[in-house]
Amino acid sequence: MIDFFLDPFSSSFSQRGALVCLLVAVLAPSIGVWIIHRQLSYMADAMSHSTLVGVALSFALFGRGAILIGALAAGLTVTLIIAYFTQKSALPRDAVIAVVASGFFACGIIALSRVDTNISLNHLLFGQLLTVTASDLRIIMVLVVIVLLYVTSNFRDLTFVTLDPLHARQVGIAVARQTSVILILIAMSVVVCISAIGIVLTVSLLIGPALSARLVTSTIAQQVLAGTGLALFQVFTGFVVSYHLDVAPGPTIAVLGTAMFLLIYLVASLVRTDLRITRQAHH
Amino acid sequence: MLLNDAALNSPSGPVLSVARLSVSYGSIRALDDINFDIGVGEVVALIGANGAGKSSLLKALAGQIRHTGDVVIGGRNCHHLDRHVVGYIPQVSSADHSFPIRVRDVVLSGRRRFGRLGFRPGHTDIAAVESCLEQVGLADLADRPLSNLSGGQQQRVMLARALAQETDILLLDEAASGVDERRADALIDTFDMLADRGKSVLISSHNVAFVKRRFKRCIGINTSLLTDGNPSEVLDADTLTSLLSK
Repeated sequence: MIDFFLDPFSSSFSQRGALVCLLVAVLAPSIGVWIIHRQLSYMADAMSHSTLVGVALSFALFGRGAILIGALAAGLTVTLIIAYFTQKSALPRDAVIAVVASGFFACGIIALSRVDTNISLNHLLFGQLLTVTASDLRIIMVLVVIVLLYVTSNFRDLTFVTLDPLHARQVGIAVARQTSVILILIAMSVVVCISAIGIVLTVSLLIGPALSARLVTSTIAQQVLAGTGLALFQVFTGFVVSYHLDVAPGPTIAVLGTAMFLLIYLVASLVRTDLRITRQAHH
Repeated sequence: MLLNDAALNSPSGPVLSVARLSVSYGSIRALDDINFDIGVGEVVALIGANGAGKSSLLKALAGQIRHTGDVVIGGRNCHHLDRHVVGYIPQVSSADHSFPIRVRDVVLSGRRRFGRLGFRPGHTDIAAVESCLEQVGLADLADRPLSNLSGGQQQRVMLARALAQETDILLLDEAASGVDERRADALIDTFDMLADRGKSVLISSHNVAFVKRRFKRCIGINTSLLTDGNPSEVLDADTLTSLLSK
């Protein structure tokens, strides 16, 4: 029985992949809760899709070791462009995101077809957990530490601004600066997640566990903690299941995230209904 | 009108002094040359019809919108976005009421004014939160999620949050509207109690009868300032016609 769980982690590739899973699971809900409550899910998805062009160009210019830095640069560039258009015009943000991000994604596909890389498009789109290099791992660890340090040391200010930005400004919080920092941290987190489950499925990890946790928690701290537990379960179960079914780990982890959300939603609804009926019976 | 700095800096000077204040939205003049003072411990009603500029005036005083003219608080001429010394509750709350947060933590956000980046509340902050929740009658609900409270209770949480800021002046936009008479009276009782402790309150209302019954001073505006004094004396038929016509 124990072999069932240990076999998937027997090679050095898979051990490195498992370490990435652990880092992603700890990171994702810590930033995911702010993405959800600030309604930035689509923005995160846009950043994720835009990284493809950064990966292709950085590979062409600097080689394999630079692709995560290239992805981060592309994510930040698209964020700046979207911020410019939404601040300088009255255009709805989601529409601007749709147009800008799809253009970046398409540029990435064209660039990748022109650049002679040994990375398959499929790996980039749907995950490359087993091809993470030691250099990638170092970059991922640095990014995770930066994001976690910021969100833990500024937890209350993040809470106050997300609850009420106008009031937060009134009590002395630099709201605009915090918003910019959060967007940069989301770009960093996207880069970490694409290493695990790829560009297309990144939002599944960034948002899925934190959203599922919201169904069963009533404070933001509880949501982060429950989300971390769910994310750990999601990535490691996905990793083990994908090994035994011989399918790619990225999509398996993503499917599990959606299944967990649906299941928790169903159970939470049933429990709430049960509680309501019990209360009515007592009255 | 030039402000007399010496008078404003004296202990008996006004806590809030507004001079030549105007607000425009594009080509529309919402407020024109507003001048008034509010003294320490005064509870003042700001009266006017819908669209008269009450909300614009309170937003301008709270530093939420741009204006021309001077706003002097506690003897200091405030920069536009430097209004940490003012507690403000807007008519429509800007808070996300579905956000997962306990009532006591909402009130705690008022204490951030005394903290810095990486704010950690101390014993004084925690005691202040308890005290403010008691003042608005919500001590029992301190650990409830904000989203579980009724609209009226949520409004009282926002009042407790403003009280926790311990500012010398509180600005409230239609805080007594949408609540029953008993609750509105209780609210004014709370403000009278705060006034006894030296706080000043400016609260907007369009309810003339309520203002006449509960306030000793009202400021009436309809784009410009029309009247300032005891409501039972200054709110005569002619003034009311000017105040409420648009």
